[in-house]
Amino acid sequence: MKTTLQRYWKSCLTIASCLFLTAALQAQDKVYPIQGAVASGKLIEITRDVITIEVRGTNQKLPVAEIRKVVFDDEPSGLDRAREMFAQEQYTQVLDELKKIDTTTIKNPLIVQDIEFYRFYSEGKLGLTGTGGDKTKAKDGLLALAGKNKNSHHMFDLSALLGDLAVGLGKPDEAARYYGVLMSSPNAETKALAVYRLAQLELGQGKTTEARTRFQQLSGLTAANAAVARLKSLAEVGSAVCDARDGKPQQALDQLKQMVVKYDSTDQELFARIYNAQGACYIALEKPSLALLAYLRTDWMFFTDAESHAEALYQLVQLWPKAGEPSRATETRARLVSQYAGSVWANK
Amino acid sequence: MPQKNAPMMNLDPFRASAPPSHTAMRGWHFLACLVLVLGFCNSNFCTSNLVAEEPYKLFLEKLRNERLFDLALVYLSDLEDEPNVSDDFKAVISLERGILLYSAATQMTAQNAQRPVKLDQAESAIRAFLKNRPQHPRRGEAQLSLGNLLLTRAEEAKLKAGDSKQDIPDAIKYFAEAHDLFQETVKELAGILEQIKGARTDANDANKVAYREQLRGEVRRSQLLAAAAIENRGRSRAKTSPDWQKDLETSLTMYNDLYLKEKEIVGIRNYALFYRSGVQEALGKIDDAIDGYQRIADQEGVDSLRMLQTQAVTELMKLFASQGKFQIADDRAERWESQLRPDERKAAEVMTLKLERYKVRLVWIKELEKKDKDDRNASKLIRDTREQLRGMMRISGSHQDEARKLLAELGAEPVAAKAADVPKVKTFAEALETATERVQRGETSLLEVSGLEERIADPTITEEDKKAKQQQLVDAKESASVNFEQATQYLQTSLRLFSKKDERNQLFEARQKLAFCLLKQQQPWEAIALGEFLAMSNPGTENGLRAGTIALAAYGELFKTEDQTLRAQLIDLLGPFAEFLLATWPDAEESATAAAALVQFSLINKEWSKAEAYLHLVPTTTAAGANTHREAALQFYSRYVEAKRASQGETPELQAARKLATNSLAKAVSGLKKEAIGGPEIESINYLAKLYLADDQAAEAAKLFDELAPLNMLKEKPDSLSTRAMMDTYSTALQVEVGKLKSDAVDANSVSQKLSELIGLLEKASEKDATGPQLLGGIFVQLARDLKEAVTSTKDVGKRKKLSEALIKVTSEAGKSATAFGTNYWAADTLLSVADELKNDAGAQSAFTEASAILVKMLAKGRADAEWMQPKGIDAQVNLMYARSQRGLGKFDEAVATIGSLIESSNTLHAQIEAAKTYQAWGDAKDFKHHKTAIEGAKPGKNGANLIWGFSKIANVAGKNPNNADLFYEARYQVAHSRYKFALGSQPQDKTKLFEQAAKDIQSTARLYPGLGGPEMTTKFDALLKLIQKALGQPAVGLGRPATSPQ
Repeated sequence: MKTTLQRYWKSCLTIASCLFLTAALQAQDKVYPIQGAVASGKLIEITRDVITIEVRGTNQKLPVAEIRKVVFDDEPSGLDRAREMFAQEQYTQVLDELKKIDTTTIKNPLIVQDIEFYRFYSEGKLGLTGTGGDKTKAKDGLLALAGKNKNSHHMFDLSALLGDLAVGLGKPDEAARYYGVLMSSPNAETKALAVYRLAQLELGQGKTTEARTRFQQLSGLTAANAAVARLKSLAEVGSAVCDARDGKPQQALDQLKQMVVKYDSTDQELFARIYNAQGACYIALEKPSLALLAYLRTDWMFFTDAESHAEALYQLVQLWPKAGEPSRATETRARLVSQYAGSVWANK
Repeated sequence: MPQKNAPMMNLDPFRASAPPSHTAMRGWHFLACLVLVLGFCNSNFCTSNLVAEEPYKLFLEKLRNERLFDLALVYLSDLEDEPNVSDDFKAVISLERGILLYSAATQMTAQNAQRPVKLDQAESAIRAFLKNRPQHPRRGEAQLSLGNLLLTRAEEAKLKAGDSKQDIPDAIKYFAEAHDLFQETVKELAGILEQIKGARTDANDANKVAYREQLRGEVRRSQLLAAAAIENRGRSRAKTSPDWQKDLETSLTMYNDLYLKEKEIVGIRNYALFYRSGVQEALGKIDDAIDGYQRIADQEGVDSLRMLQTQAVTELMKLFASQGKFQIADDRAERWESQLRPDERKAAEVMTLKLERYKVRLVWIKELEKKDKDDRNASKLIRDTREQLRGMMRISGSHQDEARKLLAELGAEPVAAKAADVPKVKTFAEALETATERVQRGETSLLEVSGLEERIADPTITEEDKKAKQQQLVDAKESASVNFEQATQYLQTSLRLFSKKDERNQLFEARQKLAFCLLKQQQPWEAIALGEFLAMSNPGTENGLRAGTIALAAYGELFKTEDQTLRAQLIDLLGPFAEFLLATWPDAEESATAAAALVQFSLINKEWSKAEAYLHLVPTTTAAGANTHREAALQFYSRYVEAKRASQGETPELQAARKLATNSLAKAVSGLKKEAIGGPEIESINYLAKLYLADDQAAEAAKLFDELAPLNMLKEKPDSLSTRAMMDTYSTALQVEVGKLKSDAVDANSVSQKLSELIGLLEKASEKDATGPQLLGGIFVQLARDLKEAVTSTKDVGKRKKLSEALIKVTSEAGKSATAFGTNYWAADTLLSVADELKNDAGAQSAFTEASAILVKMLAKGRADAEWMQPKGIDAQVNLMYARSQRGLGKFDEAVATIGSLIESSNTLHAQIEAAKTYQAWGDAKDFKHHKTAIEGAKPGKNGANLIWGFSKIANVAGKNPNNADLFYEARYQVAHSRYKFALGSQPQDKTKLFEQAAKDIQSTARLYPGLGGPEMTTKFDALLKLIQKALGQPAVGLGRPATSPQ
């Protein structure tokens, strides 16, 4: 069954082919896989799992999980620049680029939806990192987008972010629902992401047994690519946190220290989680100064993951007075509230 | 020659304005090197077989190039006796040695005591070469070296005279000698040159042609230096005096001749011109000077002149400025600076040019502002100069200090301008670059802060200027704060913008800069968090260590807290990090510093075992590490001394404290070299020796003093130590010598000789300070005890005799020659102690005689000078000692009379005991009846009571005061003892009753006071009672108590 989006797409193509035959002959959509050659031709069908493109008369099916980006033939010039910024996680720049685009003149609804996806996603990411985005606005926008096009090739990314936003807004049940969408993906990596996010959610809710099961599930995976390997690393941290919560903080700490040596510190989220976990271990071991240093590392070096950063700020608020710096606690609390107003950590 | 404020130049030895450090001597050194280079050319020339250089020559050259002059000298000495060394080389060994010695001297500071020694040795070595090798081809080089040496001496004399406006005779003398030598050289070399010039040398003989060229060069150099010597002789005279004028004019003529005649050797020609301009400037011929400098500056295409040209431009600019032509001056400097090559931009000459240019600008700015306070050109100049000075500050070198001062003069940039300058960044690289710029600005502002603070603290500053500087200081601080704050924000942005396509090493840079900014913004916890992370993520690298240093500095900030709990937490935090640093960078000073901090904090908290554990982490191989070991060891020693004071005998705690102190001090001194010990090291040596002695390791103590020879150091540098430290060293040395006496192997005579010597030194040292005599007294009391103990512990009769004889000799000689009361007192006391110890030995009489003589002298001196005996009241003690000596010599009447007089004026228990003891001794020696007096007393006074109490009353009086318990038991014992002795001499019919009375004396005491004053006294009572029981024909059961052993 064709989706609404696809119908729009087909009609657009038809109009284009009628009115601008010459141009249509030359017009080319492009699908950029993560690896391999660009597929240029006519987009035939887009689903949340697969994109079909006709290349020189032959349909090629490309799994969404293996696609870096889709470029429409008739899209405005700034859109692809925004996509590149998006790929580099430069969300402010994405919004700046998108602002320059006048969507009212765009006829292709797929392009408009694409723009909206990048806009709301960036907004949401910025909201989560506490750097200016509006989480609620992002959530509403993404929900509307998903509602309008359930087969969008952005669906899994969109759902994952909706889950994150729900966590950020202190709504774990909603988050579980969104993360659950990811489980329907045929792609192992997307599924692994869902498992990880759900485990994190459970950990946040104090369900260490359930969380540990999921983390172990991830640990058992074969790292087919860098993304899965990364999720395995994150799961390793998660397992250590479970150990710490189950009364084995020293054992957890030893594992976490090895992780600092083993992993690449350019992965901000991973390191934020490692140091937050270290901080928790030190608190359990009644070593507040070491805990303070661990959380400060997250605060000053690995702060791009909103959830981890908010947690670090919250813990710092508790720890600063023990280091004889109560005013720093006040100042940190102010930062927590202003940057992560809707997060569970700000409202604890 | 522009000496008044001219910078140092490579070939200008006459412009040194700094103290004669090796930097200041660079000019001379350069010449020396120049000569050295020539020397090797000459060697090549004169020894045709040197195309393939012998290995020893190459090695020597290598040592010389590495500036290992001392090593080269040693090597040279070895070569002298080496059979394989060529005769040609042996012929120049003396010259080589002279040059090496001269080079070594120029590397030393003017304060170094070895410098004049080396210069003297260098001079005699070169002179020896000149004398022994009249025809040698390297004569010219030797003469030039000698001339340079004389110039060095002259320059030193000038520097020593400071800013003297008068003639400096030494400088004049040496410059004159140098001039004469250079002139002689010119004459001698010119004569040789004459014989080989032109067609007289075969043009195809390359060696000879080269030699001729070398001679030509040496002649010209000698001429240049002869002129320079005259010029500087003039400059060493009172300015504008006729001799000053004459010398300068003579040198001007000499430079001029050289400049005009020398067309080929471009260096000589231009230096002559440069120096000539300097002289012209001094003589007020400014236009001529400008013309000369301009000629040098305008030459093109001669690379070897580039730095001389830079100097010429500097002088030129200053001259233009002195004429008020600021714009021209600045443009001239600007033009030259714009032509500088990249490798020249950091040269010292260039830095000097820039500094002089900015100084000129400061004057210019003031001139402009004088006319118009808001002059726009002045504002622009201020802005530009400030930026350029900041640029200079980023190049390390001796110019930085002056640049900082100039920045302070200019004042800080208004903060508002900087605060508003916040460009938007889109990439990691942009953010990092922007942050880096701000970090640099922040650092410069901090330098401005320190410059301004110095300026404000300067007492010569005017009130108005001070106020202005204070405002600038506030601005500078604010500027630093704003810049670091902005840098922090940009760095955080950079971390957010970092992506995989960015440089990973730049990510480290960003994080490290962030740590640094946080430290500068008083956020030490954050700086530690980042610094430690970076250090641990980059083990073994220079960057990692730098990050670790930031963390350490942050720890330093946190440790300023007074909160003890927090301090304890910090120690726990720093511990593992210090261990990590030491394991990763074992040789870095930073690692040692971290561990040292831990040691210090543990010591402050009196956590000895922790301090000891941390001390193991500190290497002794670094300067900071060695210092930490020493400091900790001293603290351990202090703790031992405290424990000793508090302890009753040898407790395990005391032994442990001593062991810790000994081990740590031994480690601290283990790396010391006797040539390099100073006050702090001597302190450690003394303490360690004392510990060894306390531990009966006299041989170790002696070895320590022999190996490190602290006494030699005191001899060589008597003013390097405080009186107290010096006296402590002599005192320790005395104890070490006394310790040797206990050894079987020692020659008592040689030790006694050493003791006499040390006592003399000690007394001399005590005269240096008001507290000296008091210290002396304390030292001698201890020494007397040690000596007595030495005699006591010597059981071998022969050795004991020898030892006591030596001691008596040393002590009596010291007492006789000494003027200080303390020494006299010690001598008398020691002699009496030794005599008591020797008892009936022959030596005892000798000791008493010597003691008596000293005491007579002391009493006489005390009568003549009431202040001589210190502290007040000690004369009573001296009188008692005198009585003891009389008693020892069998002069009982005199002894009793002495004590009686003393008791009449000042009755004390001690005096009474001595009186009773005298009667006891009298009873033993002559008449047993005196034992009765010893018990009952004598000399009834007007009231019928005895002036001398006797032991019976002594016991009664002492018994009333618990503090005198020891005296009480002793007196009770002596009552029984004298009664026993009295009974022994009595008629048979009285004996039994008296023996029974004596036994009763003991038994009643034992009944009433079962403890009998402790185990020692109990043993004495018991032994005496056994004798009495035996005399009574009873079983000698004594007190009938189980045997006790003294604890």
